[in-house]
Amino acid sequence: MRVLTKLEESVLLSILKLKDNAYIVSIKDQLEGLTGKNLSFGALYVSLNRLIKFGYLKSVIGESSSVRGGRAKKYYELTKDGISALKEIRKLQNLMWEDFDSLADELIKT
Amino acid sequence: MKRKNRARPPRVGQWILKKILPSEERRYFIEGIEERYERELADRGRLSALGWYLKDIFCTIPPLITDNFSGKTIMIKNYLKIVWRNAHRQKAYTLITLAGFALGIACCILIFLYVRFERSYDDFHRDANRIFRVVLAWHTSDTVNYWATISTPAAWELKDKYPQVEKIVRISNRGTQPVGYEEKLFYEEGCLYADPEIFEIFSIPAVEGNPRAALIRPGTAVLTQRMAKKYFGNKNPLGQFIRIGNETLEIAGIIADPPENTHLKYNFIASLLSENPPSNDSWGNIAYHTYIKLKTGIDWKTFEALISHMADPYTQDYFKGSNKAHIYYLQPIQEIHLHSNIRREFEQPGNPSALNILAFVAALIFFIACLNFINLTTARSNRRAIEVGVRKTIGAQRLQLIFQFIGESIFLLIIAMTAALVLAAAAVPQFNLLAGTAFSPASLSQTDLLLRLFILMIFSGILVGFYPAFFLSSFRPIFAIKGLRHSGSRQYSLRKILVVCQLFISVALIISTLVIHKQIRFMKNQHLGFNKEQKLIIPVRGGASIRDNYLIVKGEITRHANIRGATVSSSIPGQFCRITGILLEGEDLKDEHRFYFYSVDHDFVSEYGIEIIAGRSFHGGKSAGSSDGYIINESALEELGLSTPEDAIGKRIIWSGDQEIIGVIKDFHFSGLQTKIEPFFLTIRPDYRYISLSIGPGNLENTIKFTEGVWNKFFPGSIFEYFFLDEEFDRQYRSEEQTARMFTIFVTLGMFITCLGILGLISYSAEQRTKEIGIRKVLGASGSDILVLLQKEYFRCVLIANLIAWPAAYFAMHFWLQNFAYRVNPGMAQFLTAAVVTVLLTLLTISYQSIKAATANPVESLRYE
Repeated sequence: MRVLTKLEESVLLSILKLKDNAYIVSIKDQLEGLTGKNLSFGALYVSLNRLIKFGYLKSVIGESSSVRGGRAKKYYELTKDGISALKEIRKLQNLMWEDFDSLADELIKT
Repeated sequence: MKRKNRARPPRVGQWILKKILPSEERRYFIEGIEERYERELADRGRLSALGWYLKDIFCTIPPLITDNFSGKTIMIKNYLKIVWRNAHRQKAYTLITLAGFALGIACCILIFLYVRFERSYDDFHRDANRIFRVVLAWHTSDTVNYWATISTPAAWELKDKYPQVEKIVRISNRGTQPVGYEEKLFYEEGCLYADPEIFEIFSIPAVEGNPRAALIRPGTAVLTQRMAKKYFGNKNPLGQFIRIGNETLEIAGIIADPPENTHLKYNFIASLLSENPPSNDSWGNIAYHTYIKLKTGIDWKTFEALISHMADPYTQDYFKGSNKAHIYYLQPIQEIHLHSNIRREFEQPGNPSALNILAFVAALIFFIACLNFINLTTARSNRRAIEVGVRKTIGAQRLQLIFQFIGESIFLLIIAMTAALVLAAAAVPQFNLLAGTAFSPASLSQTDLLLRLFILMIFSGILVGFYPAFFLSSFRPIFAIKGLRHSGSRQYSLRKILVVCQLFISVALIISTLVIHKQIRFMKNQHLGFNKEQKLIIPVRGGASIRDNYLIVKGEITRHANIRGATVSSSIPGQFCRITGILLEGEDLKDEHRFYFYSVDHDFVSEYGIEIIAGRSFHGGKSAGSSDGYIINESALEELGLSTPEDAIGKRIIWSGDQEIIGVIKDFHFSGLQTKIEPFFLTIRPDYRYISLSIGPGNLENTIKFTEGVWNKFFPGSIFEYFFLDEEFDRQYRSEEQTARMFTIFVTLGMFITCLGILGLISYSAEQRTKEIGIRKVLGASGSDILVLLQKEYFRCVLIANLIAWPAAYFAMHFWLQNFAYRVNPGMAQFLTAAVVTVLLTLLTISYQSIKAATANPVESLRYE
């Protein structure tokens, strides 16, 4: 498995949540909304590109709509590999966080 | 469409993004940003939307760029690292290489600025390519005189008969006039009288009022902002009355100050209708600078041919039977500054040959700097043999290596260029003093200059990197790594050739500089045929008139003990001299001779110490002030067809009235030594514009105060001015002196760059030969033997360079000296001086390194591995 950065991980999750409305602006909005931090278009764009290169994402050119003056958007979708990568991360995370509560409590008590 | 009404983000940002994004992605990305921008705009207003946008762009670009180049930049990073390491390891070497080049480029930048400025004269006028000055060639029996002015009938002829002319303006140049407002009174240059069309032909921006409308009325004038400030301070000048010359004019407008690069420098422009006295309407009264603007699509050469003889129908009666004629020419306005030097120019024209020489010197300096760079980089190249070997072993292609080395030179040159810009900016004030220009360091930041420099650097980077690149990339890896270097003899001789080239240029430039200085010294010290020293000159103009009471004024002034004598005249040497047509008795009108003349009083010849070779001077005493004949100069004899001075005495000259020639004087230089002495005569006529005082060695300040006192007593309300004849006369050589000064500086720099190159080379060869020197010393060579061994190469270079530079410089200077009617010969002294200077400088440059090498202990040098 390739190593993903935290940002790339968040991007994947965000696309999953947005279902079929995941394009660059909505992804950015969602991430900024969740984290409360600014995310530049450039940084997002670079991550998206990397994820496509890894095969975790694919892009689809949408239908044109009147909202953007009749121009089409580029939507992003998770691939199967993307889903399994997320699952893998989740599993790893779970493994690592498993006994967090008990260990943390223990540390505080002593 | 809806899109059109939408507020778009700043175009610059979008443009940058477009440039760095791959094309297939661009659209979606940019539209995304636009969408967000719109929302930001709708939610929070324009300012914060802009703020958001800038911040986002700022954060966006770096990741995009790194993403774009990831993987491709590794080699470039490596190359840069190697450049840095090499530079770091050989600091002195790198410094010499870069400093030499930066210095050369800095010179070139300054010269480029200067040359471009001089060539930019009057190109700022709207439709400058349609604006022309009409000038006149006045053909007489055997000469042609070119005048920058034409007559009113000629101007009206152009206006009425030729539909090709869109606009025409007459300008009457009054030059320097006393200008007064309330108690303020100064002499001001650039007082013009003009038709209102001046504002339609030239781009002279109005600051206040409507200048064009103003000049339609008589008795009005407009003035520049600078003059408005000087005379009126914060008051509003409009409607005020100002005295210019003898007239009082109403201020009807304020115009912008003239830019530096125009030949027409105005301070006041008065309505030509208010000209007083009204102009004399004859074709011969050429008083007006006349400019026309042609309609679009008119070929000016054809039009010029059309108008050249327009005066013939009107003047043929007057000129009948002679070969005299008026022929008209057009001068494109942009060419006037550099390519027109005729009578009645508005200002001292530029010197195109000096510009060409300067541009040539700049090219030579640039060439020296390039040679230096090549020399120093090839000298160092052996050090990089191992690097080349390793790269080749790993799999570098030859082409790759060539690109590496050429890229490296371009990179270094661009660093040098940056340093050169800083140097040039620092030198701008000094350069302004030198060239009499008004550049600011900011003039270096013009885009076109920077762009040209950048292209030049890339171009010369390829040029100077070419040889090292091919040479280095040709190394066979096996030999390179083993340290079996090319013997370098071929390379070594190439370097020597380059050094000879540099020295050749330097020697030739040094000789030229010396010859130029010699010529200037000659012109300043040459006996001019009159006394130039200790003459105080008081110009009489505007308001004051010594026509009637000059004898009283003169008597009053010469009462001072330190004033030995005084004389009055219409002109003095070095100033504008009037020219006229005269006839010898019995000659026909068509034989008219063009003569320069001074109107003087009877003391002029003795006061100026002009030698009389036949006849007598004017009578003084009772008849003083009235004319009793003419005195001509030697050159006039030939013009009049007289064989000896004695023949001339008693001949009658027909000019305003006819009188005898009473004397012949030795030729004296009434203008600078650039021009031949022309036929000339002196006459007594009360047309006096200068008072010349011969002053003794006593207290100067006191003398001037006394004179000023007398002046103010006789001419209250007019301005007392004075200057010294020798200083003013030598001002005619200003252009030559300026060339000489620039030459001296740039030649010194060129020589300095050459020395830097030699220094780099000697340190290299001393280092290369450390072992050889060690062995020679072990075998019994003395320190001086080694010194000779190391230095003789360079002396040979200097000698060869001198030998080929001498004839080159001789021919170049011979050519330059043709500009002068009276000139020096380039003597042996200049050539020898140049040789000695180069030998000494070379010796100085190489001595430290060679002495160090020669005195080194062989034990040290043989142990170095």
